Amino acid sequence: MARRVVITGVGIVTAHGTGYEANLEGMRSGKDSISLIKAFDVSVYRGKTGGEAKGFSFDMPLKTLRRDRLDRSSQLLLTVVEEARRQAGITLDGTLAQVFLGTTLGGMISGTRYHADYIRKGGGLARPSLLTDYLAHFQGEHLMEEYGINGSAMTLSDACASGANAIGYAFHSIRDGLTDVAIAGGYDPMCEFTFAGFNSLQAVTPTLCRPFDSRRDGLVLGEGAAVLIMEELGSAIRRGANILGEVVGFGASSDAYHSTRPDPDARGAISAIRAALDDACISASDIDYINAHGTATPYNDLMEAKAINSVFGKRAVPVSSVKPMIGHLLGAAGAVEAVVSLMAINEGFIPQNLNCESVDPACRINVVREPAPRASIKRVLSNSFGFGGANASLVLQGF
Amino acid sequence: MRLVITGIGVLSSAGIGKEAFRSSLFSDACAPPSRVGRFTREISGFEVKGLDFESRFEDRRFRRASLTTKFALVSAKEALAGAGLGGSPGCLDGLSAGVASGVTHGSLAYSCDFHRAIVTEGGSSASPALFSDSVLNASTGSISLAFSARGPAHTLIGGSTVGLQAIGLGAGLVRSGAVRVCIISCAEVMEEISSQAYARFYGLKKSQGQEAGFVAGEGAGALVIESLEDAIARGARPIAEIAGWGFRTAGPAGDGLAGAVATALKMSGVDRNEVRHIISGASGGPSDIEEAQGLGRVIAHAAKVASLKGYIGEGFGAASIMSSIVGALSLAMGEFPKDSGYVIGRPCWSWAGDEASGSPENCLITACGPTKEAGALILRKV
Repeated sequence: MARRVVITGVGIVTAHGTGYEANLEGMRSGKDSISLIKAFDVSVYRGKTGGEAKGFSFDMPLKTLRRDRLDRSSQLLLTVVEEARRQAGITLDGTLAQVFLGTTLGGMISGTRYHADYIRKGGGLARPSLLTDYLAHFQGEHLMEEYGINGSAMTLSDACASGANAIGYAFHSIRDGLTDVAIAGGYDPMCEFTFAGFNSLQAVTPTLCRPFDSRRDGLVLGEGAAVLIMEELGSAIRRGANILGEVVGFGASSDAYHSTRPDPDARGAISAIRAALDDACISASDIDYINAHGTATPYNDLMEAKAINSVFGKRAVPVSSVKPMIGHLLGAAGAVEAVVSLMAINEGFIPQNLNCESVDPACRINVVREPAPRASIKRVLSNSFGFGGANASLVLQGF
Repeated sequence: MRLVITGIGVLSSAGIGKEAFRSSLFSDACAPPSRVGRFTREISGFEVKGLDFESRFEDRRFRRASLTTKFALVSAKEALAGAGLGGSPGCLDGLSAGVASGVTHGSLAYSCDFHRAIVTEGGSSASPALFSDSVLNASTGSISLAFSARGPAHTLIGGSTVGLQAIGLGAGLVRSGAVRVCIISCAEVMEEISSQAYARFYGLKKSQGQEAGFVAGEGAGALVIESLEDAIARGARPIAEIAGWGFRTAGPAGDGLAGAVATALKMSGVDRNEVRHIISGASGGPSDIEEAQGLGRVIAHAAKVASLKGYIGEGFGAASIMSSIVGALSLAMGEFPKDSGYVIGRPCWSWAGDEASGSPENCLITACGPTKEAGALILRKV
C-alpha cells in the first residue's frame, strides 16, 4: 500500500500580507492587493502595477546567516519556512529532511544590482556582497544552513510550474519512501529583470488582470513565497502533528511547442492534469474545485480552458484564479496556490476570480466570478503552466 | 528495474563529440587552459573552440539561441543519435520522453545583455528574445521543443553536484514509469562577469602563474537513460548501468559527502569494499578537503581516484555529468583515465591507495560544492 503524504504546516507571504491568517482573510474576501509598483521605476513600461508584498518585513532572528547578505528572495523563503515549522510543531535542526524549492531566478534583486554595478563601474568595483545570495540555489543552501537540516536541497527552475513541481517531487519522494519529511514550496521576489522581460513580451496588462474574461489583455506580476511541511502519515501521527490536508496526486508534462507560447491544442496541459488524476487514483468527477493557473494572457487562458473542458467534459467544475488578487508569483505561484487550495478545503470557500465580468465564450468554463463564502470542497486540482512548455498539476484533499 | 545509459553526447575543450573527447582524455592529450579569447580581460580557462552550430544542428529555430542552449542542443542530439533514437528534429514524437537538466548560471551572456539594456537604455528597450533565453529553464525547454520530448522536463539549479542531481531525477522518472526515456543535459558557458567574480572571491585562478585555486571550464554533457529491458528490446547498446545515487548537504569533516556516498552505495547494492575506481569532483578549489575527508570516511581501501578538472576545468553545472560520462566510458572500455595532477602540477590532496589495478567493474562519481552540497553516483558495468 502506498505511503500517504500529509501536510502539517504551511507558511505564506503574498501581496495580501504575511502569514496564513492575513492571506485567508484576503482570499476569502476577494481583496484586490494589486497596486502601483514601488520597488523600481515603472514609468517606462506598458504595465505599471503588481502584487508587491508591501507590508513584509524580515525580522526573524538568525542563528548563522548574515542578515545584510540576504536577498529578498531568501528573506521571503526563511519567513514562510519559519511559519510552517511553527505550525507543524517540528524541530528542523538535525532532522533528516529533504528540501524541494521552486524559483525562476533566485536572488535576482541582488543579481540586478551586481549587473548594474558591473556595467556602470566595471567588474573590479562591483560589490561582492551582492553575490552571496544571487544564484538560484543559494537560497535553499542558506535555508539548510540556518536550520541545520540534515538532508539535501533540490532547487527546480521550471518557470511558472516551479513551485508545483517542487511540491510534486516532495510528494513522490515521501510516497516512495525516500524521505519521511520534506519542506517544499517556492519563492520569487518582484524584480525589474523579470518585470522588464514580461513587458518586452507584451504579456503585462496595462489595465487589470482578468483571467478568462473576454477583455483580458495580460498578467500582473506579484511576489511572495509559500512552503508546505509534508510528512509521511504514520510519522505525523506518531508525533501528534495536526494534519491540515493531504497531497494525493501530481502530474507533469511538456508542451514541446514553443519557447514562450502554450500549445493551443493544450496537449501538454491535458497530459499533466490526467497524470495528476491517475496518480491520485481518482477520476475527474472527484474534483470539487480547480485552482486555475489563469494568468489572463489571451493564449494561456484559452489553452487552460480547453484542457479543463477536455478532461472534465460538460461537468461545470468551479474554476478560479487568484492572480487578479495577488499577481502572478512565477516560481512561487504553484506553492502559494497549493496553500490557497488547502484554505478552500479547510475553510470551506472558493476564492473569487476577480475582474471577470464576462467569461470569454471561447473558454466555456464555470468561472467563480462572485464570492463563494460557503462551499464544501474535498479535493482540489491546482494547475501551473510555464515558459518552455512546463506543465504541472497537483491534487490536494482534506484529511 | 535496472537503468542504463544508452547514449552519450559531449562538448568540451577536450573535444566536440564523444569520440574526440574520449580520445583526448584517455590518451592524456588534452590542451592546457589558455586565455579565453572572447574575454576582454586576461582570464585563463578551458574554452570550447571550433563549434559550428549550424553545421551540427540543422533546426533553424535555434540559430539565435544562447551559447548555453546551443551547447545543450548539440550534446543532446549526439546522445540521442548514439542511443539509436535518431537525434533529428522531433525524433521523440510519440515516445514517452522527458528531460532533466542541471545548470548553475544559465545563459549569463543573455542575462548580462538584458541587464545592460535596462541599465543603459531603459527597460522598455530590452529584447524579448534575450529574456526568453535567459530564463534558467531555457535550454531544457529547447531540448523538449527540438526533439518533441513531451514528458516532464525539469531544470535543477545547483553547483557542481547538480549534474548528479539531474541524473538522479531523470533516473527516477524512468524508474517510476513517468517516461520511458529521459535525456539528461547539463551545459555551462564561461562568461567574463562570472569569471571575474570567481577570481575575486571564490578561488578561480586568473592565470597559470597562480599557485592555488581552480581553473574554469565550459561545455555540455548529455545522457540518454532508459530501462535495460527497453534498451534491449529496441536493440540499443547499454553503455553503463546507473545503480545508485545520493545527495546530502555537506557538514564538517566531509560528513555530507560520506552520507551521500553511503546512500548511493545502499541503493546500488554495491559494497563499499568493491569500489576501486572513483572520479572525484576535486578542482583545486575550497571543497577538495571536504571531499577527500568524506571519501576517506567511506572508502578505506586502495582505490584509483581521478579528477577531470585538470583536463577540462571546473564546469560548474556541467562538471559532474562530465565525470559521469567518463565513468561510463571507463566501464565500457575497461580503462580508467589518469588524474591530470591539476594544472599547477600537484594534486591538492593525495589518496593512500592510488595503486589499485584491474579494469573497473563499477565507478563512484562524487562532487562537493562550495555551498555545501554533496552528491554521489554509482555506475556499474553492464
